[in-house]
Amino acid sequence: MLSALVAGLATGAVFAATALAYNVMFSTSKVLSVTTGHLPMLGGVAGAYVIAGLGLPWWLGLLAAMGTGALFGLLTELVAIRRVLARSDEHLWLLSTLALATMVQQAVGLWWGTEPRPFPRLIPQDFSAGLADQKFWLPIALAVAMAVGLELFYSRTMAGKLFVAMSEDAFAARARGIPTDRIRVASYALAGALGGLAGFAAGQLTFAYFALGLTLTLNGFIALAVGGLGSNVGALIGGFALGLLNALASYWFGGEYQQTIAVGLLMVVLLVKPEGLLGSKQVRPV
Amino acid sequence: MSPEHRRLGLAALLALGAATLPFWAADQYQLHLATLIAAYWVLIGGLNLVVGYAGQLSIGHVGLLSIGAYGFAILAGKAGLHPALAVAASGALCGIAGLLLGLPSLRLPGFYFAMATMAVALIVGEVVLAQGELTGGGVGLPVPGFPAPFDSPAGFYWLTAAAAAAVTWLTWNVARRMQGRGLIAIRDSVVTAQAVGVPVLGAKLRAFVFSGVCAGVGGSLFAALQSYITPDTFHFELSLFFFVCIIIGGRGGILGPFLGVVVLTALPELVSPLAKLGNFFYGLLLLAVVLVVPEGIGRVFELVAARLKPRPVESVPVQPDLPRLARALRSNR
Amino acid sequence: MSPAAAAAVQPGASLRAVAVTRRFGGITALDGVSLELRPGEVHGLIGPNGSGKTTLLNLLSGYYEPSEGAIALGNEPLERAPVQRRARLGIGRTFQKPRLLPTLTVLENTMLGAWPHARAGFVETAFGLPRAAREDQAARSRATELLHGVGLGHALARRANLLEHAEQRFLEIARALAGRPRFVLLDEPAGGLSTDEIDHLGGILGTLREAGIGVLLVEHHTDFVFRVCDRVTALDLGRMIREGTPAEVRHDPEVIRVYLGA
Repeated sequence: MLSALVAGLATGAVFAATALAYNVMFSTSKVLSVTTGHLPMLGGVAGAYVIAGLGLPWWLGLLAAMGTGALFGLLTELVAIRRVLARSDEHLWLLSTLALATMVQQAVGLWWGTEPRPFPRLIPQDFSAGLADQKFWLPIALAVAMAVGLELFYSRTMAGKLFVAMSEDAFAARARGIPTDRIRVASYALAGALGGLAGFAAGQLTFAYFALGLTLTLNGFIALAVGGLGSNVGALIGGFALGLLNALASYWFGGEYQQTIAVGLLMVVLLVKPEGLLGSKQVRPV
Repeated sequence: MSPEHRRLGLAALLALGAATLPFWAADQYQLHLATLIAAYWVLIGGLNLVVGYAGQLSIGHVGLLSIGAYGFAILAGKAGLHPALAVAASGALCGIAGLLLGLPSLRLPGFYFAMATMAVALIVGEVVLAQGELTGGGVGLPVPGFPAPFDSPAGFYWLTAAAAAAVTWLTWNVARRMQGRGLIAIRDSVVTAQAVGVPVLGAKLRAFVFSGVCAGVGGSLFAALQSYITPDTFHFELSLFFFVCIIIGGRGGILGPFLGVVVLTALPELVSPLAKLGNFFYGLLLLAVVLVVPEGIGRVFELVAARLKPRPVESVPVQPDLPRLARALRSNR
Repeated sequence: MSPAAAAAVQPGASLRAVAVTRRFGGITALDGVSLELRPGEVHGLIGPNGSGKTTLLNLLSGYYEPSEGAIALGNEPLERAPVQRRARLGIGRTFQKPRLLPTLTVLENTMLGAWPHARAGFVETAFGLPRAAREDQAARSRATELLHGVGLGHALARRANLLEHAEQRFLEIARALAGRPRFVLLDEPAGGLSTDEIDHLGGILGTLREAGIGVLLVEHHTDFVFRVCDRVTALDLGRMIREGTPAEVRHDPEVIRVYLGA
C-alpha cells in the first residue's frame, strides 16, 4: 500500500509540474496550450538520447532536456500563439496548439520510435532501493522545488514581478511601458525549460515515450483545473491528489480505469467549485 | 451564376457521381474507400453542426464512433438483433451518450470542453479494454454484415451512401434556417446569441446529441465495413482526423467539410509518402490552415474568385426610408 | 415579442429600473438609480465616462443582476430573468462596439434578430417540416423591409465583415427591430457617425417613437440627445443627478457643472 502511495505521489508530481508549466504560459498569454504535456515528453526523450544514446554525462542530458523544452516553448510561442493572438477569433489558439502538439508527437514517434524506451539512472543507486528509488523522489522533489522557485521568482525578482503585472492586466502593463511581447516569449521559454526538466527528472518513472504528451496534457490540465487555474500551490495539490487517487484506485480496483477516475475527480470538483480549489473566480478563460 | 447556385450545382454533380460510383469505380479497393468515406461522413456531417456551426471544439468524437461500432457489433453479433434494429439502437445509445457527455461539459469554457471530450474518448477506450467479456477486450470482435441486398460491396456502398445523403439533407436543413443561424451566433458572438434570445446551452446540446446519433449510425456502418474491430481501430488520432476535415473544409459550410473528408481520406492512399507521415501531415495541414486561412480552404476559393472578378464595393451612403420602416414596424404585433 | 409574452404584459407597461444599485467588488457602479422607459418615448441617458450608463443598460437587458433594487416590465419582476427571457418579452438592444456575425450576410444577420418568433425547433427544422421554411420566409421579408427602412437596402447580400462602421451600427438596429420589440436599448449608437448619419439616426428614432416603441438612448453626443429625446436622465459617478425634459436637464446647474464643463 505504501509503495502504491509513493508511486502515486511521484506520478502526481509529473502532473503537478505540467500544471505549473500551464500556469507560467497562461499568466502571460491567457492561453492554455495543448503542447504543455509534450514538454516533459521532450525532456525525457532528449535526456535518454543524450545519456543512453550518445553516452554523454548526465548534466549534458539535463541541459539537453531543458534546452529542448525551452526551444519547443519558443517555437510554440512563435508559431502557434503570436500570430493567432492578434486575430480576434478566440479559439484559434486551441487549434494551432493542437496542431503543433500533434506534429511534435508524430515527429518524435517517427524519429525515436513508438515503443517506450528506458531512461538511464542519473544517480548511482541499485534497483533494490524500493521506496527510496530515485525514480520516485526525483520528480516529487523537483515539483515542489519548481513551485517554491516560481513563487520566489514572482515575489522576489524584478523579472518575476513583471510577469505578475502582466498576468493581472496586460493592457495596463503595456501602457506602463512593460515589454509584454518579450515577457510572453520569455515565459514560454521558461515553461519549456521547466517542463523539460520535469520530464528529465521523471524519465525513470515514465520511460522515454513519444505518446506521453497527450496524457500529460490531459492529466496536467485536470491537476490544474482541480487545484485552481493560476495557483501554483493549487497545481501541486491538484497533481498530488490526482496521482494518489489513481494509485489508490489501482491498488483497490485494479488499474483499468485510470482515466475514468481522473475525469471523475475533475467533474466532481468542477461541479462543486468551478474555479478549482485555490482558484480565483476571475481567472477563468472564456 | 451566383455562388449559391454554383455550390448547389457542384453538390448535384457530386451526388450524381456518388450514386453511380459502383459503376465507374476502377476496382473493389476504390469502392471500399468510397464506402469508408461515406461512413465517415455520416459521423462528420453530424459533427459539423457542433464544430463547424456551433464552434464547439469537440476533439473526442472517436469515443462516440467506438460506442456506435461496439454497440452494433454486440447487438447484431452477440445479441443476434437484426442489423437494421442494431443500427437504430446503436444510434439511440450514442445519442444518449452525447446527452450525458454534453450536459455537464457544454457549459465549460472552450479548452475545458475540448479536454473533457478528449478525456471521454480515452475513457471509452479504457472501458472497452476493461470489459473484455462484452467487448472482446484487446482481441476485438467480429462484426456481422447486413442481409441482402446489402451484403455485396456495391449494395453496402449504396446503403452507406444513402445514410450519408440523409445526414447531409438533415444538416443542410438546419444550417440554412433559423436554427443554423443560432448555432453560428453561438460560435461567433455568444453575447449576440443571448441578446436575440437563443438558449445557448440548449442549442449546443441539441446539436451535440444529434452528432451523437450520427456517430452511432456511422460507427455501426463503419464496423460492418471493417467486419472486425479492435480497440486499436479507434485511436485518438481518428478524432483529430474528423475534426481537421471540418476545420480545413471550412466552418459554416457543408460542401467544404465533405470535400475535406474525401481529400484527407483519399490522399494518404494515393500519395504513399504521405501515408507514412500520417498524422504529422494532418497536424501540419491544420496548422497551415489556422495560420493562413482560418476560415478553411473553401474560403480560399471564394477569395480567389473575388480577386479574379473584382466587383468594387461601392461606398453608398446610408439612406433610411422612414415610411417603409414605419410600415414594417406597424406589423409589429 | 412572442404571443405568449404579449399576453402576459399589458400594452401600456413601462420598463423600469427601481432604485437599483450594482456593485463590482469594492466599486459601486450604480447607487440607487431609478429610470422609467415608457412606450412611444425616447429617453436619453447621459453622463461622463464611468457614470454607470452602460451598467444600467446591462441591468435592463439582463447581462447583470442588480445588487439591490428591482427591474420590472409593467408588473412583471425581471431581476432574475435571463437575457433570453427579456428578448422574448420584447426588449431589444444594440452594443457599444457592434457585434455582428462576420461570415453571414447583412440580411442573415438581421434575420437572426427574429429568433424570439421562431417556433420551429431543431428536429422539426432538420426534417424539413414546412413551418421552419415558412418562418424563415417571413423573417426574410420582414428583415428586407427593415433593412430598406434603416437605409441598408443596397447591402442586403454583403458579408457583414465588409460593412463600414455606420452600416454596422444601423444593421444592429435593424436586427434589434426584427425581434418585434416593445423597447429598444441603444448603447452609444451615434459613436463614430458623421453628422448626416446622426441625422438619419434621429429620423429612425422618431419613426420608432411613432410606432409606439420605447427607446433608451445611451449617448455621449449631448446635443443629439437633447434634440431627439422626450425625457433625459443624467448620471454621474453612479448616481442620478437630474431627470426631466431636455430643457430642464440641460439647464440644471449640477448637470452643467459635471457634464457640460461650464
